[in-house]
Amino acid sequence: MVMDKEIRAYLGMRHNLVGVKIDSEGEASKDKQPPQRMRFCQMVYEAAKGNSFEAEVEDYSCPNAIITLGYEEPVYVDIQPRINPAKTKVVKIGPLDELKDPDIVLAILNPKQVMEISSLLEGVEARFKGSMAVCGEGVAIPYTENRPNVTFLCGGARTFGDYKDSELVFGAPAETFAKMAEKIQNLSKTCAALCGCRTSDISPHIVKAFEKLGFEKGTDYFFGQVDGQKVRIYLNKDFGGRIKYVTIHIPIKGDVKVKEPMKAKKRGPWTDVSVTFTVGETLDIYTGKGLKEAVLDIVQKLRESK
Amino acid sequence: MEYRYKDAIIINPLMRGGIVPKDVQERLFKEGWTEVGYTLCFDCIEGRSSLITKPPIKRHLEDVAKFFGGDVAEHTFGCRAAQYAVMKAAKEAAVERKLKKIVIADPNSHYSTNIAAEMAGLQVVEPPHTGYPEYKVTLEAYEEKIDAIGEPALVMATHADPYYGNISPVEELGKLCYEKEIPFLVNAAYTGGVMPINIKDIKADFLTLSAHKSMASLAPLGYLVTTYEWSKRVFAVSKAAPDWTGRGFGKKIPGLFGCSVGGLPLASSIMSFPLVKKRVKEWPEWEKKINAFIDKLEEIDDLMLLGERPHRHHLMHFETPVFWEISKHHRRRGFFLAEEMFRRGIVGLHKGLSKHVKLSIYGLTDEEIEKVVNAFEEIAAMKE
Repeated sequence: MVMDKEIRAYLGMRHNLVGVKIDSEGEASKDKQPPQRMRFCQMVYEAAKGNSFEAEVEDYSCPNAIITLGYEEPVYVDIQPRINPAKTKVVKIGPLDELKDPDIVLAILNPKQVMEISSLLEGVEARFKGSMAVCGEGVAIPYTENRPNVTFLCGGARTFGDYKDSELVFGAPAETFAKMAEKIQNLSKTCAALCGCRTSDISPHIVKAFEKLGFEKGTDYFFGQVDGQKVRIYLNKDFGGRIKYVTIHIPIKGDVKVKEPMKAKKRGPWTDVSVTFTVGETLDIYTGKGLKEAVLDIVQKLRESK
Repeated sequence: MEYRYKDAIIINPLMRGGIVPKDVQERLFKEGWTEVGYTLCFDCIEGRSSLITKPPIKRHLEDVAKFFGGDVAEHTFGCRAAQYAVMKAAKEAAVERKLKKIVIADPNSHYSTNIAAEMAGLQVVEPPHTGYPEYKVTLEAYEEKIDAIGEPALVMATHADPYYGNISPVEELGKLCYEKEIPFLVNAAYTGGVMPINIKDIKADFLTLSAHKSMASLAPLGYLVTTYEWSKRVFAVSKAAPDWTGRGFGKKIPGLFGCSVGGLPLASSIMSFPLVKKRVKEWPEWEKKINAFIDKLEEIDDLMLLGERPHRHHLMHFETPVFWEISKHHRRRGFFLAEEMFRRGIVGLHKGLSKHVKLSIYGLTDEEIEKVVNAFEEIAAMKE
């Protein structure tokens, strides 16, 4: 599966992504049932190494998973998190590239990789308490709440599941992983390049703010059209690399005379008309506040001066 | 596998200076230089391709050094490998002399300059350029940066930059670095072999060249030209020996990965070099042609040259809002421009870009140049 390769390559993952499918009908295929009773978290770790399982309620050695994965309802007190109502008959667990249509995908990661995922997803809210972890926090929460979660595992997983001290599990609906793969693909395609290299470090927040105003980023500056006039906006950096000024450029063919604060500089057949503003004084590059008004004002003044 | 661009007019600025002359292409095949990857290595006696005398690689490297005003030249796996060798040597010298492990490099430098620095363990610090629309690199900005840094390991300038085709103030910089005793590298990947440059005239310690970009050669091949003062360090031979066999590699140059290209690219460069020497003398004519071409292109709608003018290099970067406008309504979006050019037998524009184009007409015939102008005119007329 392309998604599996994209994500593993991007994160530098040792293990396979693991797909989990919760079936409320049917039976486990005999050749995929675990050879002896196992913990769910153990099966997940085995799946991460390439093995597939189909487990019915009798296949578990850990009673918590039977509740959290929705095979049975709790008897005396409620247990959370869990798949509710309990209708599960079979849970299929396997490497993502082998399991069709998983409900939940699990990734065994180190903290840095979780950080990278959270950056891709623009934030992940984690809820964990150190018990019923891979089954509850990794599967039941994403399944019932349709959102990603991070689990720091539980004593059972750490003791019996073979998980390393440095490993965590990230669980999310399959669509979340599909979105991640798409983002990764886009990242690899779009680095605003003339020859495969990024040509400026203008932050995405600034680019978005300018796009909202109808300006598109070129190499290291913005293009737009205001009141019928093509306008370029360049963000000038100071000696230390901080964006300090915003210069609005309107190159015009031929000779043009302008009044302050506009400046005109002859360059071949062009007259470069420009106005420079100090960032933060009258306009905000992070929100675009004041920018359109400033550009419009200059365009109109320029028109009057012609 | 199919080469789709045979007989097309190439306008990619990275490629124009590297076009291999037809007679050299024929010789390479007729004389059998394409038979094996090591065609130059049969008579290697000393264990390094740069020392081979049959064919005359050693003499060729002496010619290259002399032509560019240096004392010693070695051929490399592309210009980037030459830059890496310099950065490595500069870093070692900086450690010995307790200088900052910093290279001050122009902000329009090629990515390979930055990768070479990264590999060698040098941090790149940039003097600011002048910004839109000229993006000039000035001596003053370098001076200010050198003063701020103190004692950098190296100062480097890209002679003609790969973004705008601006020429760096290398003569003034060379003088400054000479006075301050800072090693100075000029990357002439886009100029050496096209326009005159002489390492002694500009007081540089190192000149890096790209044979496939500017010396009518096949890739990958570069040259590093330096002085006797630096050659001992930058071309220092291997001193290491593994513990068990005790073997030695005394002719190999670690900074150049031991021994460099011994096949087709070098053969092509040796064959093309007489032409390269000759064509550099014709550069003033090309400068005129290029500026005339810019004038013609700027007559088309709102096409506008970015970078310095008069333009002093064949790489031209035009801002092309008219093509961007067309792309917004075209089913092929930004790809339409390169595809429309290809339909007219012209290749080399970066696919997918329409707000900007980089191109070169260096080495094209007048008819071909006219065809390029006409193509741009026709495509601009597609505007609704």
